[in-house]
Amino acid sequence: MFFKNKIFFVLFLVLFFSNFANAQIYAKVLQFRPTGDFGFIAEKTISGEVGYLEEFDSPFRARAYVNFASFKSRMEIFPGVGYSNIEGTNKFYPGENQYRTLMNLILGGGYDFSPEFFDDFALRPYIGADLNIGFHVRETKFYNPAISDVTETGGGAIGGIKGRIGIQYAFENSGFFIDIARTYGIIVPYSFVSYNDVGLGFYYFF
Amino acid sequence: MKAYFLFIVLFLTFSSCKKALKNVEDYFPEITMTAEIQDDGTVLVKGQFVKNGEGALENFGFSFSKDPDWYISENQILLSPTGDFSFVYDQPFDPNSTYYFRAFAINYYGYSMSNIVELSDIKAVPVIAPCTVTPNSFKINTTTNYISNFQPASYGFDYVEYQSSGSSVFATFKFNSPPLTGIYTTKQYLSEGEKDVVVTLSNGFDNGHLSYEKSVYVNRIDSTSFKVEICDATWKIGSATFDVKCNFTRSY
Repeated sequence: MFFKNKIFFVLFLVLFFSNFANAQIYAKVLQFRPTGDFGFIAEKTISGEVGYLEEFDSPFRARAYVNFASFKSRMEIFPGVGYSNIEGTNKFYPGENQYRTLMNLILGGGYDFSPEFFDDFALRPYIGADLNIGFHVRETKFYNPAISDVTETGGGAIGGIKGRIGIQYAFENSGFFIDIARTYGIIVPYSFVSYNDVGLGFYYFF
Repeated sequence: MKAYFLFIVLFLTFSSCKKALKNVEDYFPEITMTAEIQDDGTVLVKGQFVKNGEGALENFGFSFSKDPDWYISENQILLSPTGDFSFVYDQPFDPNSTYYFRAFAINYYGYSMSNIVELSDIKAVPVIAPCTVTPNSFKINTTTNYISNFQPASYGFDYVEYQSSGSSVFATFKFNSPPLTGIYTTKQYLSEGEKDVVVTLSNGFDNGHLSYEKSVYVNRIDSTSFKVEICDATWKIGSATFDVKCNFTRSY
């Protein structure tokens, strides 16, 4: 159901944005590279992004997109820590943590900036910034023989910001681009989430 | 406005970057340990960090068992990372059994275990008193006073007292902790971590103490009892000085 809804949503975005004059749609293959505490539990993964991209208009352009990423856990079983306090004495109980599912669906939108100096060049560098919202889904199992054995499937909302540095090469009605981006956000109710991504995209002008 | 938004977001995102470690094992501490039988029959365990791992260290500690495949909560001691990564297990060990010791360390990301150290024949090296005194007695000069009453141990915040009395001698032995096998030294006051003993004596009329810096020979018999011997000490009452010897076995 989740995937099905996502596909419909992406199709909706593409069709919706393709109706704008001077707008482009793009598709991007990107590698997500989790960082910080998220980088401790999640492997790098390759996924895709589709979106709407305006042409540069002295010197900003807008973009909106949706991307999805499913991350594999870096360890099958993480060493988990549990404590109990019996009559004032703390005791450590080793346990096992598993992250069986880690998925993000992100909707983002923001601006790119590129100096007007580059208007006459096919090759054009840019920087960009976005606001992100989305969903996070995870299935976790926390097992501690003395304290708990809990398997949870849950989700949370993601809110964050994304910064981007890229370069594009334009043809007549299309082009491609490479960018490096960094997302920093919060998953409610879990924790902070951060990752970098490196993407190779292709856009088409309608 | 767009420019402000763009530069603020770029600054915030890229300044917060903390790359994931290439090897996930590097998030956890890596430790080794040693375990050594002491002369007094205790086991000194010491942990050492090969690497600290990522993130703040929360705790470390030790555990042991007779079972080679034990859960680490057994006989566990949990230590604060601000202190030394070492501990002395002073409970009575069965010399005919094999024991397995292991250290662990916990940080923000999880925990890690050390190698397992296997020890057997854990027992104290007995101390031999250089005299023979009739068991359960105090010998004051040439008079033997049999001990007839052993009061239960009295525990203070940082000491333990054992009182024993006979027909004309009331003796109190004060240790830092329940005594182990070894040679203790009579003192006026106890010093933390030292093998000190404060011995006070009374004959019912006069109170006093055993002369300082004298040897008290203690042998732990088992988990419930220990033997005390004194060969060369004096007790001063007024201008008179008495030679004191003793030999008694009592419970912890």
